[in-house]
Amino acid sequence: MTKLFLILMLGFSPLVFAKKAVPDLFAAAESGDLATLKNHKSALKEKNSAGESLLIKAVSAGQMETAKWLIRNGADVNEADLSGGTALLYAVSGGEEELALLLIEKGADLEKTYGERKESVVFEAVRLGQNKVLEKILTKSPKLAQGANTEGETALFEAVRSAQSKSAQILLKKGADKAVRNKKGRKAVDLADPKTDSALIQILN
Amino acid sequence: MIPLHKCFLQAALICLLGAPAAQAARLGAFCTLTEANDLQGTNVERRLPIASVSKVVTALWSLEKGGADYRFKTTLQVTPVENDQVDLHIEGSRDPFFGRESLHFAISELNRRGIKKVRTLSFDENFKFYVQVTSDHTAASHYTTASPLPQTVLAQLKSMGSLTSGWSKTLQVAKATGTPLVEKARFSVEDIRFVPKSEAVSSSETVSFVMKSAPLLSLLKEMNRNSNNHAANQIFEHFGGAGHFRSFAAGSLGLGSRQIDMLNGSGDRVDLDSGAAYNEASCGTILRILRRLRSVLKSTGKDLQNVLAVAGGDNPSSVSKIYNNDVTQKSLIAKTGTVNPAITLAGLIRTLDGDVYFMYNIETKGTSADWRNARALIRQKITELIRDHNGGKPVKYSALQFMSVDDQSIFEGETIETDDLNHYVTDIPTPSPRPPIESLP
Repeated sequence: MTKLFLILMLGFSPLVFAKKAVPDLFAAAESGDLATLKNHKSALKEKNSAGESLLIKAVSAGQMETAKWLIRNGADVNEADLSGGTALLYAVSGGEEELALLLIEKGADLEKTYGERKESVVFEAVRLGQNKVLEKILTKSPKLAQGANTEGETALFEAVRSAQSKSAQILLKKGADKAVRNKKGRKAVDLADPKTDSALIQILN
Repeated sequence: MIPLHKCFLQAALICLLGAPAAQAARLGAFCTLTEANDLQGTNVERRLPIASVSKVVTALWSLEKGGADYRFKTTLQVTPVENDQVDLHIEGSRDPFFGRESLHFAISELNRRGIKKVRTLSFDENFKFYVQVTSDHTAASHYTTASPLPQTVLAQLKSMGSLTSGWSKTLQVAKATGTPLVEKARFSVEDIRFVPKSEAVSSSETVSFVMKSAPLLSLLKEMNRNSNNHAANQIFEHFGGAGHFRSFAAGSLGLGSRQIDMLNGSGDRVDLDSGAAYNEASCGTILRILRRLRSVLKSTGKDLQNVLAVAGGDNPSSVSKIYNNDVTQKSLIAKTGTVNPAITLAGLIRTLDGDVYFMYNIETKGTSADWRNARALIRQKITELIRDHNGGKPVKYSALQFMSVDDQSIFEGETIETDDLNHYVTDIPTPSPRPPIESLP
């Protein structure tokens, strides 16, 4: 009997102790592998070691259809990772205009601030010259055109720093004040390089 | 002792997004090469993952092997069967952009020859097909060198429902590019299946047509526009794959494995038994390849903007999405790269002080925060680089609409002389002239 028991244990133990291989859902989200995600719907709320959700991963990789599917299946568009970044921030920073517009439409928080300087996503849209997204954000939340970071700088300063003259025009149209000075007493136009920023200087003067 | 510029870079990164995340993204390598052959930078000869900058290498290799006018040839074998039908077998050539538009063109050419009813449409393992082959989704997805497998191709073909679906959109693009296409197509297919090349059969009545892709130069431009991983891998494998590239690199470029290692054409992750692996090269090697690529292009009257994306000129493109501003606009001609361990950018800046080849390679841990920080750093540095050279010198450039076929793609091959098929449509309209390519400065 003991022998039989041992044989049975040896035979079954691989079956008992073997774990089903779990696919890398974050790699699936990144590569747009919807089939894998659809087969693991119970795990869609997981986060990785950086605190990223599957939606953040999909958005960062520009995977529109995957992002849409995740949102339809309950993904929280405002969930942040360990560094405080959200899907909207990463959509903008990756130049993923359609994704950013989708997230705004699905209720992404436009007034959340990011980083040590506590800047809204407007600053990021201006850095990238994502003007369609910028227009959309400022239409929904006009006061963000005048929002300042901890250095006392508005997004207009970022438009100069990032050489985005069209973004500067949009900000001014939406009420940004070109006379605002930062904590060092400088205006946005003071950051412009006369050699390369003539368009910006003209707009701000 | 930490070099001064590294202190500055790390300080800049800390300001960008807070200390913990900022430390993960850091400069792996940076280099510039002027026309006077002055190569400078940090870690210039250190081999690092290059991500989609690999596509610059794929572009050079394919141009050197095939030439700018090289065209992928897909063979369509037509065998008459009963009831006015034919069996149609497609012998592929890894045409990297065989998608809906190419399929419609093939159907148009078949219609012109009275072929409208197909009993069995079969294809072999070299026929690589995605319906939306130029989409961002196809571009960014992950592939092995064997992708797409026949079952994927079959699924893609079947997903169309009717193979003429979307005809009006294709017709629009055809008219815009001067590519001949029948106004309305009729094409029914009873069965679609995979038949390996080794098992394809023909009869004495089989007629072969050869359909050519658009020229390689335009395919490379489209590949680099939105960094199409599928297309890059197909081109790379078509010209021989990793082994043949190694021989080319050693023989023609004088580059060994210490300078460059290409596992695929795209730069995307390769899953080995030992784990994830990536194409790698040193910064200096990439700049030498860029310079050689430019030289090859100039020998045919073209330039880098005919193969790489122009910031603010090619929209949408991965370069324009992330790196376009007033300073870089049409002065930056480059290729982006994104993989878990690296964010890269390489190309040419045109400045008032002259043209400068450059590459940035930022090491990351693959988090979204890392990628954001890395791109912000590159954006800041490339803008500064142009400013330091007294500003940009924009290239005179207008993007051309891409189509995977052109007026030279019309079928070669025999005339059908059988009563089993309808007579030819002989009044094929003369295609309107293609829009001229912008003259180079």
